[in-house]
Amino acid sequence: MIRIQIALIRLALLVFTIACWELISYSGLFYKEVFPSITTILSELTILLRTSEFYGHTWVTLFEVAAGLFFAISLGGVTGIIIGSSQVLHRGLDPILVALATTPKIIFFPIIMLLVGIGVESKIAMGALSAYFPICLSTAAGIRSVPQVFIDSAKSFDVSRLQLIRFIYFPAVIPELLTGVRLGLGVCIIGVLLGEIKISNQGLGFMAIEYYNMFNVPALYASLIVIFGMAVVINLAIDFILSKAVINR
Amino acid sequence: MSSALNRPIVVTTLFVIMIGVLMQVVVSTGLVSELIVPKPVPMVMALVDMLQDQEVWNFFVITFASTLVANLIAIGFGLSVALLLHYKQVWAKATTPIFGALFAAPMILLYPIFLVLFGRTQTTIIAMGALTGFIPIVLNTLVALDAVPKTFRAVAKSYRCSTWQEIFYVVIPGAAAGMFVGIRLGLIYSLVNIIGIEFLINFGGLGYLVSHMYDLFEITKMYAAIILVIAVSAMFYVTLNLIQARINRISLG
Repeated sequence: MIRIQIALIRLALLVFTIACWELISYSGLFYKEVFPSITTILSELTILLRTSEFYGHTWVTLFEVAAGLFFAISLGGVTGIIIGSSQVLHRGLDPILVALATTPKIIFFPIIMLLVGIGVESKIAMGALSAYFPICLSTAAGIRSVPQVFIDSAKSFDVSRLQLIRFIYFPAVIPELLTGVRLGLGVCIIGVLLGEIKISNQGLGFMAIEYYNMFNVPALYASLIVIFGMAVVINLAIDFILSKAVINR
Repeated sequence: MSSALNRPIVVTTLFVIMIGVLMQVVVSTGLVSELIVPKPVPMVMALVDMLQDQEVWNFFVITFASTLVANLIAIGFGLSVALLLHYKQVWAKATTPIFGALFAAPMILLYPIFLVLFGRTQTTIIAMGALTGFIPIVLNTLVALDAVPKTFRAVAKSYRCSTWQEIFYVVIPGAAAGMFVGIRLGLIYSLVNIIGIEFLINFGGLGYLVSHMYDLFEITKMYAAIILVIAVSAMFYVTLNLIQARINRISLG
């Protein structure tokens, strides 16, 4: 019974939102160009999905996100393990990492552009930088949470530092690393898209801002629907993959 | 020396100095061009100059005023929506996953829509700040309200309190610590998004300062502005954490 009620409420909310939108669109309170009707947006969405240009932009963005995440996992995972396993490094670098993690990453974009130029590399770097902090901090926190008794037991077997990382720290840190990847993916997508919006000639962020610059508002809405839909699908996919990975462990 | 190394502030300061020295060496030896990475000493000088410049303080005020106004809106709407949903549990169950999905969505990308609606003005920045602050406030307030012990409400009922009296004298004080978690997150998200949008649209406060310095190719000043933004964000974060710790202590009794 409660499930039906929940479904009905969600349906009612959807209908209410669409009705309000249409009402505003036809009321004349705003320019019709600013609030186009739902049908106009949907027809623009259909046109968008039929163009080959759209798929070109999509592949560029997906590539940048994947490459950015790859670098973030590699660097964040390794530095997270190093920082987490050293008392002095953790004490000294953790406040710096937290300070940088709370800063809006887009302000580092000028430095990235100076270092690697304004091509695809800058968006990959932007995505990697955005995802680096949650991954590194989660990994370091995971390392810090390894029970001391595990470390002492391993040390009693005269293991080297590398063996300690390989056999004790690394298996223990996987769940935290995966949590970091989950958090990192979201900010990686945002970083890449914002980079594309700021300066680019390809990618979904560029496509959306181009529609804004041309004042093609229905196409802007359509492209944002696609971007949000894609972000949701990617997040769900990574959730599914990560849950499988945890179960397989 | 070893006891000094046990103090995080000492170790962090040493690390910052080490990073500075490393940058100085890398730039001085020509490994990296000074046009890309400036030497730390002129950078610090530029930062000191900035802190004495009234215009920079104006940027600071603009960003913080925007964050404050955005959050007053977000708190007003967020707390009201959460309270309404708390007393209509079916609605809460139906909408919480929607708010959760919105929380994970790249909301900052909606800024072109606000640009279309309000133009390149402070209203756009405040609206985006309010929108990004609103969602964590709703989600965390709902959790905090649900966590208020049933006994508290039963006591309120036994004193024949009206619903409003129960809300103001029992539920809100009981959920204060958890509600502040949402407000704290809302403030942090708003500040991050506001600075980000200022940078993207070249308008407003501290974000604009970074973007403007880049446009002028004043690289040393640009780095100084970035350090300023990092310091402001970190101080904001630490201050909110201290307030949270104090509220937690008070609510624990």
